Amino acid sequence: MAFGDYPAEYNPKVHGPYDPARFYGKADVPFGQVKLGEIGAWLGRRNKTPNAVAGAVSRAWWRWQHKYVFPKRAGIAPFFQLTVASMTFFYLINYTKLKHHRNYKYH
Amino acid sequence: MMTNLFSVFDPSAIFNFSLNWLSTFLGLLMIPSIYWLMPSRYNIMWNSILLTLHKEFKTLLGPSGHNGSTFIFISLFSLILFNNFMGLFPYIFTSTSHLTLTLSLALPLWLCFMLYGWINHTQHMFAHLVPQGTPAILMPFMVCIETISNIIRPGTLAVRLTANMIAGHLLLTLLGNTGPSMSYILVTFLLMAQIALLVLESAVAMIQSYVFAVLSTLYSSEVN
Repeated sequence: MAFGDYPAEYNPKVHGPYDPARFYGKADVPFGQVKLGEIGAWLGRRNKTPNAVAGAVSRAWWRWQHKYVFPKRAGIAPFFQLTVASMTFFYLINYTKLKHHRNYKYH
Repeated sequence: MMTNLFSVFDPSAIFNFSLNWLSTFLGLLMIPSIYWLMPSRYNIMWNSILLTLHKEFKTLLGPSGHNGSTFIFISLFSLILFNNFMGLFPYIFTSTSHLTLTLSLALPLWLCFMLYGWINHTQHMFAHLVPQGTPAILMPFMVCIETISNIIRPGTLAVRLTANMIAGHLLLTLLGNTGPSMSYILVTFLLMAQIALLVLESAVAMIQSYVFAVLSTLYSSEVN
């Protein structure tokens, strides 16, 4: 599968027009229906190659845009969703530094 | 690691990788893309901003400006605006508070204008060293002053933006850090002051990106 190609599992004769929001690989139990004890095994079955991860992010982004950004009367929500997500991301990658801030009172 | 007032400007993140620079590209996620024929509110808003800027920069460039040369300044504006504005949210790194970024925007731009101007319009560039209406006795001094002012342009452009961003963030952190040792009544006032400052800084974020774009437009219109 080269860059920009359809996923290898996609077959236009079976699936019809290509939908960028859809996963064409072998269907697994949806995450919402996974029992707590099976989460480890479920995660173990995920395809974690860079290609697959990029594909998953791409599908999620597509779905998110269609739900929140593309509608004609889209509100301010997607902006704040992105902002909060970015804030969380930068908080997490800076946590090793930020955790020292609780010692400010001793400075 | 010792944290201090300036740790908000530290690009290094987990494992000492400079991952905080990633925030430079947050704007790419914010640009509304078009899918449906009918534009969404985001598209309408974004288009009207771009159109207004286009008209603004077109008049600044004057009749000698080439078609489409406003695009680079509009892109410059939006890049800086997204960086300035997103940097005001907690934990998000402000790339424009570093000369590394602002100077890498301003210096190549200025260098291109200079090379273009001096190679293609040498006479015109020399003429610019003496502004119209300068008394003859002041002309030698004006040449010196104009030369210096021309050479420091990339520096002033970059430092103006960086200093503004640093000043705003320092003010917010300094004031915010006094909170823990305050009484509850004073904290209410502190909160109000911080909100007012945040509004002010949002305005500064927009104004400074506009200033950067407008000045580079004017510099480009001077060389042809």
